Parts: sequence; structure tokens; C-alpha cells
Amino acid sequence: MAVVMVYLLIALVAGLLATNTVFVLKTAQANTALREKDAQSVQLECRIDELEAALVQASGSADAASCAQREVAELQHHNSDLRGQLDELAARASSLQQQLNESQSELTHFQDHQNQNEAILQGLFKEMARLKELLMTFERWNLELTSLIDHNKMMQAQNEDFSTIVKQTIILALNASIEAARAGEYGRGFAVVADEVRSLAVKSEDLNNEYKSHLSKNEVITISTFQDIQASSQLILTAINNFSSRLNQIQL
Amino acid sequence: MALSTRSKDCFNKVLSHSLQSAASDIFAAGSLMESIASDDELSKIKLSRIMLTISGIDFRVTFLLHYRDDALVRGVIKKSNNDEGTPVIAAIDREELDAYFLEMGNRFCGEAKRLCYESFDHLGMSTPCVLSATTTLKDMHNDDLKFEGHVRFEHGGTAILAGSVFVYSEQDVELDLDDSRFTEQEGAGELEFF
Repeated sequence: MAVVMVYLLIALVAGLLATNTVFVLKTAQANTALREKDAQSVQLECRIDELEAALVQASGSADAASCAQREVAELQHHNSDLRGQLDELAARASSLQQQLNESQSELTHFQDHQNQNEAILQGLFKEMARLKELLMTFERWNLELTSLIDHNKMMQAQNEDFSTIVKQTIILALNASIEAARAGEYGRGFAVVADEVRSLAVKSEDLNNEYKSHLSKNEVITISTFQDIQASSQLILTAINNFSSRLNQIQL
Repeated sequence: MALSTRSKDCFNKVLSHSLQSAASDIFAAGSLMESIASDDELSKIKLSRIMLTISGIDFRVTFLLHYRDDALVRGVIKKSNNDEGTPVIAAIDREELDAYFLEMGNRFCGEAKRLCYESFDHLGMSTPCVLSATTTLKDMHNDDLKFEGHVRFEHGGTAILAGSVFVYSEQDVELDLDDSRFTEQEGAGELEFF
């Protein structure tokens, strides 16, 4: 019985030892777990502090966040406007590009045209030089008309001489008539001749006066023409020089 | 077609003003008595004539400067040519007298051209020519003649100088000058008033 008791005691002690060992192990595990929890607790506390700090910071920047939201909204609106403007600019750029292409095409056309004009301008310069040479024609006309005026003056002088001769002839015929009358019957035939001479001299005088009148008219017409050509050539020369000056300006 | 009254009036003024201006170096403006003359009147006086022409694109204007060739005119010219105003003994011959009036004719026509530039862009002027004594004013008449005007200047009661203007054209020639164009020149002292 006692053995049983010892056995029971041993079994009890063994049981206690095992239990104790289990407890020790459990305690060790619990301690380890506790330390872990403790560490976790510290970490959590730190985290809580951080969160609290963050919470404080977050609550402090709530207004800023609201402002930021408004700004974001404005920026989005602005962005939308900018996008719209960007689209417009893109459309304009496209239009400008099209215009540029057209302008380039026109420029090419203009350059072709300019080359043609340059050729025409050179032609005009040549014609201008020829026109200036043609003005020499006026000089020739001037010389010819001066010669005509001189010739006219010579004819007028001859006409004056002729007029004097005709007047002398009339006087001579008159004298002849007087002498014929003095001769009486013998001079009758001579008187007829003297009258005829006088009649012819008077007709010559009339004709001479008419001729003188025509010569005067001729002189006025010749000088008028001479002066008109002279004045007109001056007018034309001025016009040509003005035109030439304009051409030179174009070339410059 | 005929010229307008305004245009005729302007041509007459150009004639009178230009002639006075050209003659101002020998005749003081106040010493010349101006009067309108007709071609019949001028034909009766024995005057030498110088002819000048201003040409436009479709017209021409011919001026005649009539001057007396006598001792009175020669005396006035000699006096004006002498600095001290005393008569020069050497006589002026016919050629010298003509040369003097040819120069006056140039000034006369030049002044007329300057005035006509107000109405016409393109004008040319001829050199002067002395007409022979046998020519008459009727010789100036032809089918193109649109207008003629004459002015006479007397010095000491004698017709000493005269001018004529003849406008030839197949078109109307409209000269329109402001009266100030004539008075400005007079006020500028170009003419000498006594």
C-alpha cells in the first residue's frame, strides 16, 4: 500500500514536475510572447503617437487641403481653358501653315512675275535710250526750219527789190506817157505802149503786194511751226527725263 | 468751242503781268500806263515784233512783244544800261535793240510759262524770233485760233510797248489762276512802284 502510495506520490511528483515543466515552458513562451507583445505594444504606442501626430497634422492641414482642392479645381478649369486655347492655337497654326503654303506659292509666282518685269524693264531702258536718240530728229527739223526762215527772209528781201522795180516801172511808164503826149500825133502809138506798160506795172504791183502778204503769212506759219516744234521738243524731253528718272528709281 | 470768260481773263492777266514783270528793269511799273488794245489799234502803230511760243500737249500759246524802235525807247534803254543814269553817247544799233528785246521776250515768256504751270502740267517754251516788218497781226489768225488778247503800255503819253497773246487749240483750253498769283508777285517787290 505504501508502495502504491510511493508510486502514487512519485507519480504525483512526476506529474507535478511535468506540469511544472510544462508551466515553465508555457511561462517562458508566455514571457517571450509577452516581450513580443510588449515590443509590439511599444511599436503600437509609437505608431499611435505618429498617428496622433499625423492626426494633428492632418486636422491642421484640413483647411489647406480644402484650399488645395479649390486650387486644384481652378487649375483644372484653367487647364480646360488652356486646352481650349491650345486647340484654337493648333487650328490657327494649321490655318497659318495653309496660308504660308499659299504665300510661298504666290511668292514663287511673284518671283516669276518679277523676272518677267525685270526683262520688261530692261526693254524699257533700251526704248528710252532710243527715244533720246529720236530727239535728234527735232534738232534736224529745227535746222531745216531755220533754213526755211532764212530762205523766207531772202524772198522777202527780193520781193522788196521787185516792189521797188515795179514802182520805178510805173513812174517810167508815166514819164513815157508824158513824153508821148508831148510828141503829139507822132507819139500816139508810143502813148498806147506806155499805157500798156503802166497797166502791166500796176498789175505787177498788185501781184507783188499779194505775194508780199503771202510771204508774211508764210513767215508767221514757218516761225510758229519752228517754235512749236522747239517748245514741244522741250516738253517731250522733260517728259522723257522724268520717265527715265522714275525708271531708274524702280531699278534702284 | 470757245474759251470761257474766266480763261480769257486769266490769259489777259498773264499777258499783262508777264510783260510788266519783264519790262520792270527799264520801265518802273508806275511809269507805264496800261490799256487794253485791239489788233486794229496795234496795226496802226509802227512797232517791231518778237514772237515766242509756249506749247502744251494739245494747245499752243503764242506771245508777241511789240516795241517801238525810236529815239525814246533807245534813250530809256541807254539810260537804264548806264549805272550813273547819264546818257551813253554811243548809239544803239538795230541789232542791239532787237537783242535787248529778245532778252526781254525771254523773261516775258518765262514768267508767262511759270504762271501757266499752275493749270498745265507739261509745257515747253521756244526761243524768241524777230518778225519782219511786213508781218501783220492778221497773219496770226488761223482756224485753230481760240482767243487773242492785246495790251498796250504808254510811257509819257506814247505807246511804247505792247503785248499780244494768241491761244491756238482744237480743244478747250482752261486757264484758271487765282488773283493772288499776280498780287503776290507785285507785293514781293519784283515790280517797282513809284
